[in-house]
Amino acid sequence: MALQYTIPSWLFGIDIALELIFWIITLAVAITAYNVYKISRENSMKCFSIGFLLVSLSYLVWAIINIFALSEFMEFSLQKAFSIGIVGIYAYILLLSIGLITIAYAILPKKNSRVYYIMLGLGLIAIVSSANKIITFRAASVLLLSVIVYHFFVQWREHKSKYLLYSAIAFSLLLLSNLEFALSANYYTAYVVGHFLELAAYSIILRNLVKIAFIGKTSSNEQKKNKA
Amino acid sequence: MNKKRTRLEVIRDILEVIKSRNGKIKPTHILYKSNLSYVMMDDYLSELKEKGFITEVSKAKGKTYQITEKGQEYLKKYALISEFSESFGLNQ
Repeated sequence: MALQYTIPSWLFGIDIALELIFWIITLAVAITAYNVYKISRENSMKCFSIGFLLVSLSYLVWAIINIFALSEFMEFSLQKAFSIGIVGIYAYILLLSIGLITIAYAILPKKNSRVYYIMLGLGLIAIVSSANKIITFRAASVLLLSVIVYHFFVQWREHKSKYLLYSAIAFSLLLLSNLEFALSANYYTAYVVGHFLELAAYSIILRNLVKIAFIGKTSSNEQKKNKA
Repeated sequence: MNKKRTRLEVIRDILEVIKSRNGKIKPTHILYKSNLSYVMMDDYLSELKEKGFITEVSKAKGKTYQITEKGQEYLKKYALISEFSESFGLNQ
């Protein structure tokens, strides 16, 4: 199995920087979700945290693959770059797939561990047994993101919260970016567009996180004032 | 007509009712104040005990519930919990 994509030369390095930014933002979401879980003991928060942690690790792995590929490419050793890449690609696919499945499970109204293991099993078996693992992986990611986007839009329609709408838009952009990456083997613009769609998506998610952190800090300051 | 409460709101309301009675309250008082059916209240109280937000004290006259430090923490940080769950659609 090999993954290939065409990249314009000007994007060398920028894509790695973007992937590291995405790693940090998704890690921040995972940590915040875990802190909220520690207080609320809600399983959905725990699953959300684990899901985003896995997605975060997948971005880190992708950035490391690209750093190795770039350094080996610069030394004109494509074969070495590919062999390092294969292990990394499997790790990336595994982490992102399990991460998205876990996030999709976290948003389900009724939790049942059997449902989670079935989702995980079906998803991973489909990818591992497929002749073209990359295409199957991208198709699975698109399907999972579609479920997540649908959930956000339904929730927004019910609760009319603008932050829910922002999350819905962010995950819609992530869905579009996955579609772009599926085309990136043949069209370098798809790789570029995919990265910038992700950047837009994570900027929105970061905005939501900053607001949550601000509200958390404001409410704890108010508690301290009331005590005084 | 009032909007249906989310799970987190119901938990907050129950904990506030218990806290408002100086941390000791009988189940019937929780039932009246929290606006829940008996079955739902029982389910929520079991969940809150499991999570360590309340403790049950059984006496000859009957049982009472007390709020714990974790329960107090939940109430203090409720705004954060609510905003996070609302922003990411986890408040079902």
